[in-house]
Amino acid sequence: MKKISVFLYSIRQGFKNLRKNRMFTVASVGTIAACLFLFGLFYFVAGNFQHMIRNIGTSVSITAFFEEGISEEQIEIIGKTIRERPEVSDVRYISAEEAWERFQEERYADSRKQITDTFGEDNPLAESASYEIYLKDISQQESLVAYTESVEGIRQVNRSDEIAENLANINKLVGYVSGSIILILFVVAMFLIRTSIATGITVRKTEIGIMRLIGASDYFIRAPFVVEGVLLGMIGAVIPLAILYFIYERVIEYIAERFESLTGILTFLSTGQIFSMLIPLCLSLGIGIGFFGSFLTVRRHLHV
Amino acid sequence: MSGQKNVPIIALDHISKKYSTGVEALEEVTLRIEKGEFVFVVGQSGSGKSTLIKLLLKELQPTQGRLYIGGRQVTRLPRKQVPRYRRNIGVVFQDFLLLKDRTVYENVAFAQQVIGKSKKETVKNVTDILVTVGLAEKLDVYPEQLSGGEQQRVAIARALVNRPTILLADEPTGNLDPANAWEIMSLLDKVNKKGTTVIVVTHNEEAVNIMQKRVITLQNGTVISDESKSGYTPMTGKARGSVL
Ligand SMILES: Nc1ncnc2c1ncn2[C@@H]1O[C@H](COP(=O)(O)OP(=O)(O)OP(=O)(O)O)[C@@H](O)[C@H]1O
Ligand SMILES: [Mg+2]
Repeated sequence: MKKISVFLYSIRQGFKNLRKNRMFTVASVGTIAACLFLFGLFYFVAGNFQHMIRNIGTSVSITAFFEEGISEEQIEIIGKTIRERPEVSDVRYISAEEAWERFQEERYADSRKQITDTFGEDNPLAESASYEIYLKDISQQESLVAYTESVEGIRQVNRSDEIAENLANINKLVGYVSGSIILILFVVAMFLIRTSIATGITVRKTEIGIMRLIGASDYFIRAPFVVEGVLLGMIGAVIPLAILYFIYERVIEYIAERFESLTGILTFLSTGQIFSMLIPLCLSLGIGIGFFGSFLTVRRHLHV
Repeated sequence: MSGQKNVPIIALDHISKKYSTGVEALEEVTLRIEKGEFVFVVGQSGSGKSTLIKLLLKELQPTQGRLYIGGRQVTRLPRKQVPRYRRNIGVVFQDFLLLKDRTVYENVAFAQQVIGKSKKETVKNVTDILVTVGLAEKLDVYPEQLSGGEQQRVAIARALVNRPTILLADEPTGNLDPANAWEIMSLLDKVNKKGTTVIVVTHNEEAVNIMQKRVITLQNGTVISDESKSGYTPMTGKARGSVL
């Protein structure tokens, strides 16, 4: 009974503090909201990149060409060793003829006849028999290329898809950049919450003094300020989440339209998939910042 | 509190307080105050009266000596227990310390809220105490709309609403004209007659003379006289020297 009434008092008082302290409330909420909005945007990008890369990963291969005069047995053995690598999902043998066929199809589809005229029945790619090696995870392309190059009987290794690699790099970059920006913003947000709470404490010094004399517990004196901090964090999380929710579908629609040619690569996470992670993330970040920001301030400024 | 007759409600045993500045505000003060007493504490400015009040409130720790409340030693009360300890002690000051943005009712109810009383209890207790101090008609008035005497009565109501056994008053009439001062003193007397132990620090000589209560005089941090003027004589020669 007592506990509940004190708890309710803290909540009411927390809301009151928000209203009384309007300027700092707006500043704190604004900063947290900005942080979490940016966080959300980066999360969109990073989440979708990861999603795309995972999709592309299996469709991307590296190509390993054999040394001249290699025997079929040797090719067999090489294929077996590579296939046993854990990051490899599939290895396919492409004969010289196949390679030439494909090349003609891909590059000179319209002028096939002309090419046949030029080369006749000769295969300019006669020495280009190869293994196409498919990866489970694109991020391991680098190490697999290095490994394959070291295998005896392999002349040369080509990475077949630069897009995937670029995506992986961009993904990393996005991670670093967003990480640092978010860190900076969170520090600023934390600072603002502290200022906001500390100001509230200063403004209410008389009241707190009286509370002490009457015999208010530390909990009773401190709780409203912590509630205020948590509310700041919560409001600061809900606002950007609402905005992000509103824009997400519009943005992916827009991008899909703009870059139609990349439809195969640009596969997006659904709103549900993104937000099932983003909502709890943002809320816990916002509330966490609010709670710790105010808790630490209160501990520093409100001792008997 | 303890019902035993021999246990004083307040006992100071050779209490000294030296501030970090080096000022020796109280030196070896030994006092015994019985339950239900009314005590004036007088003395020149700087003699240590407010320091004494702050020690009783546990706002300050004595540098030496021991403090007993209701027979229990509270000299080094753990920080966590201080709030509960204070709920047994009401206090009023010269400058009322009311919250300007709250009505008379809210100012008093605040004290009940702090100790987690239910709304129903609060309404009853606050109304009762405001009747006692004669402010039943000014429930919804803000402190600024009250006279100094009325403001002090609100402060007294707030100090008493949680039913403490001890009421401390540090110059409660310092900001009041003689008429208002007298009303406050009468109120404090009335409160005392209902059973609360009352300790009043004051410069109001007239009140001290008229009321004929026990008067403790401090000078440079020591008790230079302790006289009981009324029929009530709790201090025997024996009790004066040692508390225990
Ligand atoms: N916080 C403090 N730090 C250092 N010295 C203090 C402090 N508070 C009071 N003093 C000193 O201790 C002595 C006693 O002060 P105290 O406030 O108890 O006097 P007082 O009897 O209440 O005086 P007054 O009648 O003017 O209120 C004074 O010399 C004062 O300067
Ligand atoms: Mg004083």
